[in-house]
Amino acid sequence: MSRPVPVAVLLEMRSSGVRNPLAITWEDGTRYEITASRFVGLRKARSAGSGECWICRIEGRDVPLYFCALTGRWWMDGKGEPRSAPAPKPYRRVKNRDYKPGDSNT
Amino acid sequence: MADRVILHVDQNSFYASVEMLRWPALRDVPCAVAGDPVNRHGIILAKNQLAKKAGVKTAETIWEAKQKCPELILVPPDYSRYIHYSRLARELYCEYTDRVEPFGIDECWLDLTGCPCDDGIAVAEELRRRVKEELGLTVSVGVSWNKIYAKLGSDLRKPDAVTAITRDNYIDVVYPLPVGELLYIGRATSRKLRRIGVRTIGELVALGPSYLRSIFGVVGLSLYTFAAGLDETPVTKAGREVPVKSVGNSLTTHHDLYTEQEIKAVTYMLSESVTSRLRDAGMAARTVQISMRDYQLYNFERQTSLPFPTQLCSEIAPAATRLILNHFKQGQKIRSLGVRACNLIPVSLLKQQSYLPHEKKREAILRLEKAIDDLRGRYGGLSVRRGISLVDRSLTEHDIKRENVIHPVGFFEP
Repeated sequence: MSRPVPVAVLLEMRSSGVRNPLAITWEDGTRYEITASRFVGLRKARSAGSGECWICRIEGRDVPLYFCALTGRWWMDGKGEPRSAPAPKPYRRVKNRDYKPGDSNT
Repeated sequence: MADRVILHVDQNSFYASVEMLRWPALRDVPCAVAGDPVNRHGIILAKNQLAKKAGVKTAETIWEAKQKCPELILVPPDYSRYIHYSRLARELYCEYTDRVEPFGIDECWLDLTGCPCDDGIAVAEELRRRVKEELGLTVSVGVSWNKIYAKLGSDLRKPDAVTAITRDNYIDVVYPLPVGELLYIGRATSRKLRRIGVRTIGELVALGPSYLRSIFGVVGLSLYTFAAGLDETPVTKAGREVPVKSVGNSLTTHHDLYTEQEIKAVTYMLSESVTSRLRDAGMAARTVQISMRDYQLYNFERQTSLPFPTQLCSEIAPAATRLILNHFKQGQKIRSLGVRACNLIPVSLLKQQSYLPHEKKREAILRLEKAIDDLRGRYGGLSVRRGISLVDRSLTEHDIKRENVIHPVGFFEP
């Protein structure tokens, strides 16, 4: 069981265009240094979604860090239940008979 | 000459798969992506395997689906996400060949002929594995020597599978299939074929080209070519611009339209988007076409010619409004309206249309409309609006140009 944990990332943007993550801040505010990282291209995340992936060495363990180009967010796989879809919005039904010709809601 | 190697990659239940990737908990429940019933787009757009097992079908209304499967979870569509994943998949395909032709948002043809890795089945397996590992989506791939059989192959086994239709097995695999499986054989053609006793693709091929031509005309020849695997349509190169044949927008309104003012407001709004897109494409229209659908879903289309080719909203909108109002009966309730500019001609080919002074006025209006395009491009489609749109904001609060994201595609070359 895994859930996506949004993280803040300290990123080095090199002149060659390479992005190199240096540190992350976990959701509880703890900062972790990344001692080594390797870009592995697109990967499906264990928790949810897929994105550009870096395998980062944090406290001696290799863990994946993901980035979604669409939303601009970074996330990691965390322990916990997978998140559920948001509850569907209650639909406000508009019936034709509620509307009288010439009505305007301006 | 050696056969071509053509792949057709079809992303399974694309919208639903993207949503399940985002919300993994949806994998264990029947779920479907559905339009918004408040805006009267309440149909099923895609569903997952569990919903499919419960009998939910694409394009049926939400209440029909809920009757079959009361526990069905509905998710609103997120087109920007689908387009993002579609683009990522295409970039992945482009690593294998430059001939990648999209067919809708979730399907692509790939031509591997002459490529360093032209073993169709091996590439298909690799693509299937990579899309699953890298994007988290499943695809079904058809491999064959022509586009039609490749597409047929990808439809045969779903999801997450590769099907090869080769010269050795096509008679056993393709010929027993119902004719309706073939591209461009819809309900009407199926019915016509059934009337002459044709049920399978093999029976269609057995009729021969001349007999099919005598019944269906030129289309009959295409049907024979498709069915017999003789289609030689090339796979177009990725990024090739398809020439624009027509530009149109339509809108199912928030509530039915009753009055002429409301119809005029919606027509102007649609025409503004159409003409702005015409200006982007550098085209001028010689014909305006309108489509109307009333509350009983009765559909009809009418068209009219314009005196001069134009890309001005102030010429297209009045023509479209006139056309609609000529066919609008008092008391009729209109559910959806569409405006289309067709019979297009590039602006570069346009010469001065007349020597009358109004030509200068047209140029001034064109400059004005281009300036409004710029403003809308910068500050959003609703930043500058016509007074008529204030008739009813619930009808006109749409940025049609930006919301228009799906470009329908046709198989036949324009």
